[in-house]
Amino acid sequence: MPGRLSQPQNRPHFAAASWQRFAPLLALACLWQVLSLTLDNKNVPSPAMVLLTLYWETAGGELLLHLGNTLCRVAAGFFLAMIAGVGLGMLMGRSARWDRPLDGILILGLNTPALVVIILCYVWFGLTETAAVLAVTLNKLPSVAISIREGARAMDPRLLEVARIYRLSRRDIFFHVYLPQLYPYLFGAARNGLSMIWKIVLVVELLGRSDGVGFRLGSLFHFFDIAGILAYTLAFMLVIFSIEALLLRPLEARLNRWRP
Amino acid sequence: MTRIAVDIRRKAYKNGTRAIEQLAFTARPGEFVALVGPSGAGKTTLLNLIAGLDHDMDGMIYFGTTDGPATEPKASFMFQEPRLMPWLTVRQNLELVLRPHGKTLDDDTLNKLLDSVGLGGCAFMFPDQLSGGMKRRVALLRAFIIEPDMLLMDEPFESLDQPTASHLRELLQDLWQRTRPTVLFVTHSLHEALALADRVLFLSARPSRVILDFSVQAERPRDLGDATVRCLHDALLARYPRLLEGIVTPD
Repeated sequence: MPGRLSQPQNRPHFAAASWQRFAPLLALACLWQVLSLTLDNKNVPSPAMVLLTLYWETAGGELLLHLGNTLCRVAAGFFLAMIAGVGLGMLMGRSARWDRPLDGILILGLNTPALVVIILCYVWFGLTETAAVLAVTLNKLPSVAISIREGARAMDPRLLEVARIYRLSRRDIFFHVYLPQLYPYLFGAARNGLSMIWKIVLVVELLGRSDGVGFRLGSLFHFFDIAGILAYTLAFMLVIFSIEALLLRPLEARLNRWRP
Repeated sequence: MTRIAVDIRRKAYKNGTRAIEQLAFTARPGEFVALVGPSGAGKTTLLNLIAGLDHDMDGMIYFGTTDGPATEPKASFMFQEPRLMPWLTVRQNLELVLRPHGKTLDDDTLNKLLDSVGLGGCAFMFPDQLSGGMKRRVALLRAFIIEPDMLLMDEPFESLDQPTASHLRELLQDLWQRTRPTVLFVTHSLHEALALADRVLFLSARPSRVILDFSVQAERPRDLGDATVRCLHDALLARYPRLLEGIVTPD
């Protein structure tokens, strides 16, 4: 069809693709169900039990409250870490003058245990929301910066030469030459970021917040309520899968449509 | 149209290798000049200096118009590879280089341009969906669409099959005659140089300088296979057998 973008032919059909994605998860759930029936131990609740608990917690309104609070912290930490990390990574990837002095600090940050950062933030800034989000951001920032720095170093100098020859404005160079080369690294950082951040947020909540999934998991642990713990885990998994399926993958597909 | 006067006393690479020494020539406004030399003679380096991509040299590069001196001329550069932005469509690639000149591209003009180079219907394709020859045509169009004063070409039709390259050369001559930029065309093929240029400058091996300045007196349009081109080629090589190695030893 002239004038229109040809659609890729070799993608599996949507239903088939989702099936390929979910079949292993379903198999895992079946295996677990069989295992829990055989063991008959209240510390290994069946998937059915977990689903039931999930329903109760949701119906009671408690789950949504905690989940909502946690998601807000995840979102705040994620965006702050991405913005600061991308800025820092670009700066370090482009200029050796900034890279050398900041590199040591970055390695220090990357290898400081998350728990230490969290404790220090709480001690120095009090048991506040700001301290919580700051702790999450600081934990994630170095790894974002490092992956973006790799991207900035891998810039194709030949395309930048084209930009110079045709005297593109700084703005055009940034958006049409520079940024598209960073997309794969940005997506890598975002995916890693999301999974790492929500793990850190739970610890932050466990240690110094009185709401959120982490706080709730702490009290469930107190009562050895394994079904409850798994129900919260499952709820969070569902949220992550939705973000991946509804936001990240479609966005990535759109930005990558030029790849053959 | 721009006059290009080059006078490079010395250009060395970072490792100390002397690339160019005492190289001087002038290209008249609207002239098509081919630069021929053995590989490794610093031809690409020379183009980069003229393009302003590289400033590290001892010498002068001067631009002027028929009326007098000119500031930085509007330049286009066609590289050995097409170097299109792979994430932009053909249309967006062309629009990108027009933006600094505050120009846009309407559907009619675009379609006419694409048709004229045999790329009708490709406006919304991405470069990786095009063949090698088609990518070069887009790159050629991109080079001409800003109506440059000066066009630098670095073996732009290298690694293409003969019919495709020949078609592109025809296209180049056609576009050049319409807008008449001053062209510097680097090649290592004497046939190609004689087929395209008004004047051929032969370069020595490194450190390179001009060893022969040859005016091509033949009707346009011409192509590689034309009898006149072949005659000129054979006559030149008969007179200077080691010309393409960068050595002139006239009888």
